[in-house]
Amino acid sequence: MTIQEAVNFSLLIIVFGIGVVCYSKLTTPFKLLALTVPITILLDLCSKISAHLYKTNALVLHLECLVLYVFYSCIYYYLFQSKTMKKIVLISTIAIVGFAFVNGIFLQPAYKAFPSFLYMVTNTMLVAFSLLLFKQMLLYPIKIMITSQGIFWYNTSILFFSTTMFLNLGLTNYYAQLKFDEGIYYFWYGSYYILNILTGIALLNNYKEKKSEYA
Amino acid sequence: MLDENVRMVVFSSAALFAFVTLFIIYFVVLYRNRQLKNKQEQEELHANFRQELLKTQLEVQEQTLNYISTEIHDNITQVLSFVKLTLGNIAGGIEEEKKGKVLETRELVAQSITDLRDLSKSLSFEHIASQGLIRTIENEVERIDKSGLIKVSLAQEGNSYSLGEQRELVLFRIFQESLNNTLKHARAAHLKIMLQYHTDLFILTLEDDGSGFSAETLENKSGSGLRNIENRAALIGGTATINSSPGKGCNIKVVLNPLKQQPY
Repeated sequence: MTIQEAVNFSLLIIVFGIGVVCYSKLTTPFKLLALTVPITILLDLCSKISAHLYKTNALVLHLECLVLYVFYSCIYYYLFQSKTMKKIVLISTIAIVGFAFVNGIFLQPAYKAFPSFLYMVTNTMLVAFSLLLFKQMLLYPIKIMITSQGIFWYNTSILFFSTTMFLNLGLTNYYAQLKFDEGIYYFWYGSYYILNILTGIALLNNYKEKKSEYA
Repeated sequence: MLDENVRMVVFSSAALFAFVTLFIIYFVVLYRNRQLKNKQEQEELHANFRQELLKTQLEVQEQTLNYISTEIHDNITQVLSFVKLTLGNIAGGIEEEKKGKVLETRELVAQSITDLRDLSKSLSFEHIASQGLIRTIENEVERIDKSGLIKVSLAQEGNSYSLGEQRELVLFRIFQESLNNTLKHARAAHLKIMLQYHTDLFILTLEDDGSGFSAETLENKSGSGLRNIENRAALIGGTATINSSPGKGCNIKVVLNPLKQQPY
């Protein structure tokens, strides 16, 4: 295990701990967010085992991309107030699940190919949802300071992660051609660190918001 | 080649992080501005609602006072006038010893009729509107003076002008509220009333030498007419300032710009 992997794993464990401690006091979308953490840990472990046993972790990556997208879109489903947006999220999720199967069978076979198409589509959708949620927040501002709102941190984490994912994919392809793919790993891990840290902050803030409601 | 690649990765990632970070900062600033704007709008709505509520309360109060005034004038004083007339007739046909007592009772009834008529006038919106603010306050001062409860002095500065029926009515109600507070709580010996008419400023001042009250009471203003005084002044576009301290009496000042039209 490299240092980058160890740091990422430690961060995931810490966020998982926060999720476990705060779970009962979280709102439904943040309960879902807390659930994404153990799922990520589990899939990361499966990825390692798969890479070790079968020399490829493509299948796990296909699965991870799809499962996390379904979770994130469900979170957006709860966070959007407009019925139209909820419908769009629901329809897009069904469409992307369909696409994931088509992609995994025909376009980028799940047993051997990296699911770059699926990453591109899901991250495009997540960036769009994130921007639309920011718009909704501006239209209906609440009294709580923005940096104390879990929804802000969650949305920021998704915006950061999904936008950097495009650069990750593009640079990975570019450096793979140049036979220099070590440097880009730092960037990949950097994105994951930010995602994990912001997820932890989002969970803590949602916990505090919910707690203050009862105070 | 390797250095160039590393530089490329660092530059691209730094540029992207900087862009997303700037976007987030911009969003935070925008959100904060929206929050402030929303807060301001909510406060305005709340203030408008309070003003509307107060207006309705005052309208209901005025209707009630008018009703009581009409009842006193048309019913009670009429009955008492009949009693007075009957007592006069009885006095003419009875022996001297009892006649004195009957006439004394008749005088008391006559006094009650006069007092009730004065009270009826001070309650009636129409009467206040037709008499004007100064004349109505003068009548009230006379009435209080006659009662002997407190020594009241009234002074006027500048040439009087009309402030409009509604505003004068509200000012008179403020005056009545202050007077009631003085009579009920202040245990004052003197009350000074001053009406100042300047070109762009009208000031009504009421000052007593009573027991006064603490700043705490002034801040709470609960259960007293003090908050009413401030609210009513605000309703007609004026401001009421209340100054008092224990043992040093109370000073109430209502300042109004007569040129500023406040929709009532």
